[in-house]
Amino acid sequence: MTISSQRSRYPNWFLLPTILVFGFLFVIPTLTSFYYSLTDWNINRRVITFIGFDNFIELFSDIKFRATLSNTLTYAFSVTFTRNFLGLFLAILLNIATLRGKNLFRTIIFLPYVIAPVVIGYLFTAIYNPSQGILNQGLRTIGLGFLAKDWLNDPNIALFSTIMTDVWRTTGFSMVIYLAGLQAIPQELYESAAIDGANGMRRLAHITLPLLAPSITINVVLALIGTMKVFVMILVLTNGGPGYATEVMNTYIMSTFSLGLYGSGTAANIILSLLIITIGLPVLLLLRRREVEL
Amino acid sequence: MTAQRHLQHTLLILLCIILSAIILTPFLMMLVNSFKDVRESALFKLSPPSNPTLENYITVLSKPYFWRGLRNSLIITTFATVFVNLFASMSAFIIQRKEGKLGKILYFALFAGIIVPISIIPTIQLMMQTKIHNTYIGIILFYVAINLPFSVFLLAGFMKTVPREIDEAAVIEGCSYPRLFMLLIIPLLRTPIVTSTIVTVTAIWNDFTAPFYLISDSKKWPIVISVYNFVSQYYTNWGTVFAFMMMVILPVLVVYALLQKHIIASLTTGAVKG
Amino acid sequence: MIPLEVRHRVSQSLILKNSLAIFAAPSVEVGPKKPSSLTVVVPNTTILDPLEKIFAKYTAEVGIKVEIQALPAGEEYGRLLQTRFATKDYPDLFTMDPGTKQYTKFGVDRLLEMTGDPLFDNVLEASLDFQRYQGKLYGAPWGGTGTYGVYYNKDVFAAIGAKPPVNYADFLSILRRAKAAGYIPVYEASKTEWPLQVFSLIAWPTFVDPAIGDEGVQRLEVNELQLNQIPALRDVFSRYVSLRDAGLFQSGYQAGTYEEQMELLATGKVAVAFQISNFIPSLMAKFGQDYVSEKIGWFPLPSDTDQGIAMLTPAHQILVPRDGKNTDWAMDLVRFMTKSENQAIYFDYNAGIPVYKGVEKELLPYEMDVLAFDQAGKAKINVQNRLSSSFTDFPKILQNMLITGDVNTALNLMDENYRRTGKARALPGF
Repeated sequence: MTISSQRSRYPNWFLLPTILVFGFLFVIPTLTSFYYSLTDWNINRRVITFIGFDNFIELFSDIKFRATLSNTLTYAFSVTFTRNFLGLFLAILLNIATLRGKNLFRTIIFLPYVIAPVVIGYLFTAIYNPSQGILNQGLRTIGLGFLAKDWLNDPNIALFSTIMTDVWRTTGFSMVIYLAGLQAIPQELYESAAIDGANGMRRLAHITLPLLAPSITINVVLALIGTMKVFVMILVLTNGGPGYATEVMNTYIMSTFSLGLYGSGTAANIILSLLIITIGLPVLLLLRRREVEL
Repeated sequence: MTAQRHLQHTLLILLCIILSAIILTPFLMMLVNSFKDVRESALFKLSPPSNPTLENYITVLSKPYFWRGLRNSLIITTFATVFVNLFASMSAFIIQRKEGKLGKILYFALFAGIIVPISIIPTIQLMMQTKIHNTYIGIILFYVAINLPFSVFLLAGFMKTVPREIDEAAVIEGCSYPRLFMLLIIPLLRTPIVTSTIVTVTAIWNDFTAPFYLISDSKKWPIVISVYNFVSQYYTNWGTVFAFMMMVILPVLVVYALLQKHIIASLTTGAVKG
Repeated sequence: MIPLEVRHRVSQSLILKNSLAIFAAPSVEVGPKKPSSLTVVVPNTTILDPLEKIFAKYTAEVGIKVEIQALPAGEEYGRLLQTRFATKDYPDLFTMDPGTKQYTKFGVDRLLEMTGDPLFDNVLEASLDFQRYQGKLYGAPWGGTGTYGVYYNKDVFAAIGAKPPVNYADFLSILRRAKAAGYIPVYEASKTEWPLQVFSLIAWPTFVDPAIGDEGVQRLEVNELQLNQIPALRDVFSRYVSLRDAGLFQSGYQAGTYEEQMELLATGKVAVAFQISNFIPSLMAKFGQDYVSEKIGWFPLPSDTDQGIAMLTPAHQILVPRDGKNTDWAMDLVRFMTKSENQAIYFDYNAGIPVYKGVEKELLPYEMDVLAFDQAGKAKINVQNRLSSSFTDFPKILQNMLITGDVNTALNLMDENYRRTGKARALPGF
């Protein structure tokens, strides 16, 4: 039996369930969204008309939407950077051989990631409460009372507060990926570097970071894509407020949906997809190249 | 030397304890305040309750929508995960083994499925037109659709490590492909299927967006979105809110405590392989 | 670009709800068959007790059960109902916000025309006028006339020796005296968002209506006048921002909530709150009817020269989908609900001035004040109910304005949203 004829005997119909379900509930909506975004589809219309790029033009001239774009990008990059930085730092920490109880600490730090974001959102509305919340209470007891702010209602720091919450929730995830990456680095490399007289910093820069490149790629790309799609947590923490200070793409899409402006909402969704692709793919390729080079 | 090492070590442990405190304190606050009455719980203090009361938990557990929510979460998550695993392994089997054109097209489409976010409004429209909006089957199929890409990639990657000789040997013995699949391949895919299960269950159980948009009947709501409803009703009584949230995360905490190693490993190596 | 007309067919669904009638359209010989139950949809903020009582009476008399379905209130409510219309999942009847714009929202071709129904003989003329669209009636008024305004705590006013202001300058001085005496002059519930609209809406009859007149509003209705071209409206927004600038809001007002607003106004920590009459029943539930009658007063937003014009909200309405399964019996229920004695039951639990004749209701002191203004011709209906388009996203726009102090941007946004919504609803002129 030749290879190709043997291969051809594998039943193609095995692919059918996936094709049907995925095609029906993902591919079709995604394709029709291109069409709908170019129409004036909204809840009041019984006949919808093609209007070209009007939705997109309207979106980009809307102050609220521009603020949304800026907030989404700020949020995504801030959370990604912070949780990767902290995650790496913690991974290096927990990887120190002599540290006892590292499994326990790892388990604890990872915990928030398995809890539903909606619960974490509500929990943090209590924590960020300006007068009673434990954050401000804690700051006051250690004498840093001047740092106590109205975390969710001050338009200047509301976005920052949501970033803090997401970092708290997801740093554990980044950390564990880095831990796995660190543990894959053979000890001998460090030992021979130590023999060559390299100190901690040099080891970090020349051995650890380069060999962690795959973990960095995964962590950064996943974080960027995930944070650009943030929805529930911000919905629950601030509902996009105060004003438009914490409005992000998915909360914006939800508000257009509530107003029945379906064509517009679909257009915003497409912009979000484009955003993710135009930022996610280049970053992915860039980091992948670094991996290969190293 | 050892004295310095010792100091370093102690500082390290101290740092870890502080970090753990940062993670655990919010949960502690939630737990402690869930046993306080409405006045005391509004103060959010970490101190133990002056008059510990179970009334919050009684209120929560007496609500039918709590139990309904749990039941709905179980139904939806179980069915969706079973279908995801089944369909994904079937597809991964063919894609990896056959290397045919159809498989390659599907693989590419699934890749898009990982990057491109869902278009929720057209999805709602489609589900309404096909009468599956606001039904169990609708949301289950939706979850299957969006969780397939990841699982297919995971399983296809693993299929590479299953030697073709097994297939050939079975075929020579006259085994049909479906039987080959069920009896030989699936058992060998145990490990990635466990990973896929954990990832899919986590994604579905904690999901808010899909029930929010796709289910308008509150009787069909899974437990996590009930939180949203519950809090808007009871938000002046934090004790009750905390009790509700504690009950909602309790199953997750229990499972996590028992299986944390597997869960962490799955969620992360899953991501690495994907 | 040549616009393509795309016929978009909405699905023809044949969903049979178990709880609804088993019987089909009326047969010619015996008339409409009696359904076993009727479905009534209301927002979930509705006080259900009076409805349950009225429906229990109906069931006892007629033998048809009435099921109440409560849907989430707010923007959501209208959207959910519109979705049900689109999927032909019609309730038998439902309550809705006031105004003929609701007719156009659902489409007059999809609502049962009620012109000539005997129940309207019992409706006060002004309300009847309000329900007319192109000479026809598609909804029955439900509930009472309410009001938005400046609600104040009488004890606080007494403590600082103040009386309802005679003009705007007087109003400001009262607020300043309240602040000096240690009270919160105005409590704004910024975090809850919707209450922020009240100031601008009550300022409209006092400041904007006199400036643009009824013709101005007509022109707004057909997009011949733009919101950001009305100097009086800009003035209103500036006044609102000045209140904030003068420190007359509570400190940390961005965290202000509706609940706290009610609480502090009732307990005498706050001098005034810009609110809607719907909050009175909630206050009464908490503090008791007598307490509220004694302690809470109302006055309209004063103008520079006089006491100002009261702002009224018309009664809500009951609408019946034309293609519902039991339209005859639905109308029967509507007639029953709007009978004077059943209206009286409604008002046992709700605030408002009855719009049906012969309803016995003891008006609260502040309601008498409102009535006085109305009878003196110094009252106008909420501008939102006089327009078919909507001030979309208004609370957020105001929230932003309070942050930045930028009146012009707020006006432009308000105008943009208003026109955008008009276009989306295919209203004439947009």
